[in-house]
Amino acid sequence: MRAILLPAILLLLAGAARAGDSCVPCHEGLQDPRLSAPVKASASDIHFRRGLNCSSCHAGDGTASRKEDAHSAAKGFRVPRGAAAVESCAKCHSDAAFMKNFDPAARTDQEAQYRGSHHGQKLAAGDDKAATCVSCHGNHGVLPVKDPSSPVYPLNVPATCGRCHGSAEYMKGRKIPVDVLAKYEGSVHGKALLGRGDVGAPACNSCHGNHGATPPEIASVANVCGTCHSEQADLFRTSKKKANFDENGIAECVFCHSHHDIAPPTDAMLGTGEKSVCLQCHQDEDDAGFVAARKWEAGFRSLVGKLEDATHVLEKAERAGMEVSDPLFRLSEARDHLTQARVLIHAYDAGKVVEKLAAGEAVAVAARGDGEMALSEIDYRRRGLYVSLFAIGLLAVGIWFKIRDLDRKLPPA
Amino acid sequence: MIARIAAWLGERLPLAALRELASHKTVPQHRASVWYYFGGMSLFLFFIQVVTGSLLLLYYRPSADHAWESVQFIMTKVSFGWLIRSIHKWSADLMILFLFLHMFSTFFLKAYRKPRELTWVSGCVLLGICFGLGFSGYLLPWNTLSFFATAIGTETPKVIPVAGEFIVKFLRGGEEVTGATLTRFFAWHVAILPALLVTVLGLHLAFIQAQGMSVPIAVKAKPRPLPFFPNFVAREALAWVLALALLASLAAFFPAELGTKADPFAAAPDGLKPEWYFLFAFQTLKLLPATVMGIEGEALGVFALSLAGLLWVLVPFLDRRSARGEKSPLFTALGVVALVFFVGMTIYGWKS
Amino acid sequence: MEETPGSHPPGGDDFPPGDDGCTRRRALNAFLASGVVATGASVAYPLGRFLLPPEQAESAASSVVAGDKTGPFRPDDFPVNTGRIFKMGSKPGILVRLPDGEFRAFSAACTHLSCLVSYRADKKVLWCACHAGAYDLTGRNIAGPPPRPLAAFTVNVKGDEIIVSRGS
Repeated sequence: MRAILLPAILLLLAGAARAGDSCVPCHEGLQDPRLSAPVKASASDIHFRRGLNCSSCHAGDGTASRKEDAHSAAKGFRVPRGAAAVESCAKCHSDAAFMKNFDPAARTDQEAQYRGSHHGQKLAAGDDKAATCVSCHGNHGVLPVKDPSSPVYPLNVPATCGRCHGSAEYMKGRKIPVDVLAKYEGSVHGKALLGRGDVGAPACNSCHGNHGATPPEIASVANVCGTCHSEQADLFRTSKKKANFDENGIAECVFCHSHHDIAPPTDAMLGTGEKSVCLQCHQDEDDAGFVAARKWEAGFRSLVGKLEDATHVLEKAERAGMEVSDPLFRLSEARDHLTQARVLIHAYDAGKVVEKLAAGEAVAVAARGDGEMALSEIDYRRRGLYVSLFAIGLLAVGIWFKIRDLDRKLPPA
Repeated sequence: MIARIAAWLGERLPLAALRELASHKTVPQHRASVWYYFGGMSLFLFFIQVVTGSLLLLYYRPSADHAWESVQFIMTKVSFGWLIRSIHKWSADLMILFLFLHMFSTFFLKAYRKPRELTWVSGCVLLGICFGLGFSGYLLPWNTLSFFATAIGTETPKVIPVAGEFIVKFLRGGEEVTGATLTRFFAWHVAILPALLVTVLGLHLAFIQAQGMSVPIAVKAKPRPLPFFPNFVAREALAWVLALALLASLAAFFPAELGTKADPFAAAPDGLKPEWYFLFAFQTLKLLPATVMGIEGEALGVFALSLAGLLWVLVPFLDRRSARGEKSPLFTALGVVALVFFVGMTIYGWKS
Repeated sequence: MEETPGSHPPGGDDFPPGDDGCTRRRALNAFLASGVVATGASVAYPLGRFLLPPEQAESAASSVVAGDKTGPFRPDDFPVNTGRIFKMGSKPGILVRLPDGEFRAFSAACTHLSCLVSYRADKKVLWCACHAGAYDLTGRNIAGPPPRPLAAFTVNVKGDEIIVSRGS
């Protein structure tokens, strides 16, 4: 019944809006921008374009010609803020049958998710600074999520969250850090998303959720990272480290890679140097982990060195005009072995890593050999040149003497 | 044996007359006669171009899908393919260089003066044809640099009023530089322009044969004649042999590059430059402001350069004094200005 | 020499006329001839080698015979439900044999960060190990960060060669 009734009401409302909505003509002319801006923004608003109008959220009487009647408390006029805003949005967005009229695949669990989120719980506890629907989606001029100008479009999410979570003033008196936005912007994910515009890279909500925003628990970190880094997560889950980390209550990925400011991983994170993350636990020199860390780092250094070496030789040959695109191509295969070996670290199985590194080294060494051959081909060309220059020189000297001989026969001037 | 073959041929061909002609042909000997060798040097390099170019045709494939790959094939899989292609490239550069030396020496020695006006004009046409050969040949490897340099080069005529759009379309064989342009440039490079060149070259040489070598105005005493054959030819041969050595060395030490295959949809790379002999024009057009006195700067530049080129071709008819056998310092000064402009702009374009 | 026309080279007049001059001239001509022969040989050798058809008879272009450094892949030695990397011009390609025996080929450079994709026999997808990007067997990106599908190539089996070409 409701499924039929609501659209009918909606159509009526829309018809009323077109027939004689008095909010717009009145508010348009108001001097105070706080009162005129909402009307102007509504032109691009997805709700307006689908037929809603001011009274859909503000109630009151949209057909009245006098302000007192339009804003009549008797007719329920209100400015929904805080919990009222959530209710106002949820009126439609939690109604699956109603939402189906606009998008058959629309989700309607946002309100439920929100109620369970930190934001929702704070709001329920009376914290009026907690984010509600409009904090992220805006109120007047709401755009579809897929619109690149929407504040919740992936590229804009960090700035939107950062409006509160990056502001020390707004977050005053709370225990959570406000450097998260700055940290994220410098991270490998932040650079991918904001620098390269790669919308496949994670924004805040990719790890924290959006409507149900909550920090991931220690136990679930690996699952969160594993949504994208599934290979690493799978390897880690089946490794002997898993039980170890669980026993000691260590957050899996985060323990070595940190979280908001995740830097691109380096080989120096292995080994026993300053940047080593292994040394967080394996500090004793006779500790098996310490020994393995040193051995692995050496292995990676060796492959990286061989790759650089091969690249150097091949580029030298290329600069000298030799065609070495084939070994250069194969070098990309060796680089892949390196990438895969780096992934395999997460299995904590020395055998697998060493095997992968060896495969990479074999390819790199072979490519270097091809480069050396190309360089020796240059020597062959040079030798050939010297032989032919000798022949040409012989001829030139011969002609030189011939000219002298011919000139001698000329009659004197 | 040789004598018998010569006798056999002599009964069928006017060998004796030719020998007679050769024995009487002489070249004047004076302090500027070293400049007589530069035309012959250009001829030798043209010969090298014909030989190496024909050889490259054995493996080259003129289509957007195959051109780059076939040149890569020549450079890597064909024995001495790198040598043939590198010599073709270096010989082209040297040929243009020697043509410039030949032209400027002719200019400063006023060898274009009456009765050699047509020799000068035909020489200018030959240089133009060689520019065309260089421009069309540059695109044939279909690499990124040549693709975009050609796109820019063929864009230039657009500023010509009325006919501009048509000329661009005619050059490119369409609106854009595409595989159709490659096919078209290939035809120009290996058939049309060489045929034209050989024809005009025949005229140029016939004029020289008919008129003999010009003696500079400044040389007053009657110069001593040097027999063309064998004395002059032996000297020329020595220069050719040395040029061959230079070509081989350049090819071995600085082989022609291939670069990456042209991708018409990629962004144009930075620092695009045409072949060095077009740099002066390229740089001049680049330096001009967008508008000069209400006229589009580039249009003005193209017009000015074309006008200068036309005056250059017509110099023998404009230079009245040298036609009378008098010294002509005004034209010498103009030549110096042209030379300084050309060299200066080329270096400026090279450095920037 | 041009500056002093007609002057004989130093010592030129010291050569006695007659037989000795003739011998000297004959030696000079022999020397010159050897120079001509040597130069001719050093020109003819590379020219001759150039004319001989090379081992690989023609340049490959938009189509290649799929293979790696061990040689071309043979359809008979290519197990079903496997994939192998080959060189498509200067870029990597991947040739996959579906469980039903059909061959398909794609660009092997992941559209995310250009890592090499591989064939995952267990999941029947093209898989990029770098960030777990996955493509289905038409090249469409179905999971992970890849923003675009993989470019698909055409595969033809001709005798015991597998020929992969760009375009349709």
